[in-house]
Amino acid sequence: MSKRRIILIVLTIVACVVVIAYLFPVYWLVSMSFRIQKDMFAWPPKLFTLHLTLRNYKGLVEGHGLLWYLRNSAIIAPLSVALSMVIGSVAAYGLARFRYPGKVGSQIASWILSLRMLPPVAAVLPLFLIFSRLRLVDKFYGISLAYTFFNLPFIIWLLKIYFEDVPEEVEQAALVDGANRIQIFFRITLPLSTPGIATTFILALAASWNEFLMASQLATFNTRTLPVLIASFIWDRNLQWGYATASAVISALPILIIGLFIQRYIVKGLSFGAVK
Amino acid sequence: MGHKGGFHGLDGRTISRANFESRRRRWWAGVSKWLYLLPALAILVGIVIYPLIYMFRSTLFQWQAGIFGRFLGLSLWAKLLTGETLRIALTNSVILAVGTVVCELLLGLALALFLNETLGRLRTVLRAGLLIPIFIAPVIVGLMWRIIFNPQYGVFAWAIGQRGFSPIARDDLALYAIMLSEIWQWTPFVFIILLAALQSVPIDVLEAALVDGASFPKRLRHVIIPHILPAIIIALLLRSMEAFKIFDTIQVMTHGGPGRATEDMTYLIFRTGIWVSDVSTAATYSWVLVIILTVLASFFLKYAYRERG
Repeated sequence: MSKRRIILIVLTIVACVVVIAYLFPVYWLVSMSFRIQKDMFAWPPKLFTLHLTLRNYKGLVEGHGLLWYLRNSAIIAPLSVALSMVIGSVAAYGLARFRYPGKVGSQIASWILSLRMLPPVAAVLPLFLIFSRLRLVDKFYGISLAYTFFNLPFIIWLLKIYFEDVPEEVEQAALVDGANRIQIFFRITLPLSTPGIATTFILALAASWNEFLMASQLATFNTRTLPVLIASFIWDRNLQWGYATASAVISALPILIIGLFIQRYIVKGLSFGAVK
Repeated sequence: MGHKGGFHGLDGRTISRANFESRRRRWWAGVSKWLYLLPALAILVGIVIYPLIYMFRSTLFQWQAGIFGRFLGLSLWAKLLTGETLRIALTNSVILAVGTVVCELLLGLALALFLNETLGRLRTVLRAGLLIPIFIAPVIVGLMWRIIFNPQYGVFAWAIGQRGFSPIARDDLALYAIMLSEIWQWTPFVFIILLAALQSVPIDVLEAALVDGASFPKRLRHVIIPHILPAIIIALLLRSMEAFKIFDTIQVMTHGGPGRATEDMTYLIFRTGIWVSDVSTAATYSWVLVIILTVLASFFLKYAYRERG
């Protein structure tokens, strides 16, 4: 038994080392954002330094409107996720619960999922033209609507899996008791699939918060988001290390905090009902 | 309309109120289930299908500043399908897609098998740490690796002891640098799905296999893999869906270069359509990709649904 214990401890130590090494790029980025110029461009690179500064962050807030970009992202991402979640959950519920004639149900489901494979770049040009005509370019609700391109298929497919795991008998019992579909959806289906909802929510939120291509084309002036700001410090031949890394840290923090708060749900949600 | 509390059915016969109610309800149930799908389908048609149709039209006509000009027919298709540019981009896309998905699955499985053996409390902490890459923007991940691979001051050049060396500046290595950043970001996603599945492998079955003296590869093949197969398929499906969409990391790390070394299909469409503003060409490339992805998705989904039962 004690021999097994030793093996376990050794394995655990090795695992810690592996994970810490895995996360080195994250440390390196964060560390860069707090460095003075001389420590960023040192040879050999300084793996660790105590000479820290907030200059990059201060410059971003004062000279580049960091908080303004943060606000834009904080409007667009939740708005687009809310839109996709409301419409997507209704569709997913329909696909999970009802029988459609023939194989139409499963055909629609796999058609919707296959849309997720399409890259946004294939639609961004015509979307820009349509949006210009409808005056949706550079509007918060316009860009949020554009994000349904990748959010909606993803949300419908994931939620369909989660809703299918809610036992149908529970819903049938409620139906017999005189509850209508809306009550059932909110009082039974949603609460019983909380981990799935949380997982879907955070993945869609991260995808919208982190989206770059559509934002760079459709949110051109008044609604520019954080990824666009970060990319503005990165050019073909060169990049502004301090501003790029500092804006990256600020951009990553909100989603990371939310994600780590609900990580219990995410882990449960990502186990999927298929793996009971 | 009715008499004695009854209603006329379609055939003119009188039916009872209860009967009418139940018919009405059945009719409503038949109709209402479509209403659940309607908003989603309407949005998808507007945001996905209509743009694709628009793009298809611009493959047939010379597009200029929002106006469809001269009719091209399929001549653009014929020209681009045989072109070197498409071949390079398609090859890069396939290498990226297959390479990232395969590596993510193998590494994710290895990581899950490995961390599944570690102490309980610490496992939760390590798992939380590995959640970090999933939530970071691909733009940021690209930035990370670009800083690490900086030829003059990067840690990579320092670690291998060759100042001035950078894989993203080499046309034979740049694509693998992009691949690395993708794999780094998404292996943890696969890992978390597979770890959850591993924890549900019944202990008595595993112990029975141990008692029988089955070696680790044998246990893996005959007990563990079959049990976590549904999870593997879900991970495979979720990751393959994204595999042909790699763009942000390329934009940040290499801009498709050096030369065309890291130009995949999405980047090619971006470059021709948005930088060069040759929309008809970009549209044709888009449609080549759409056709390939649609065929791929239908094969893939058929297989995945069959395996999942």
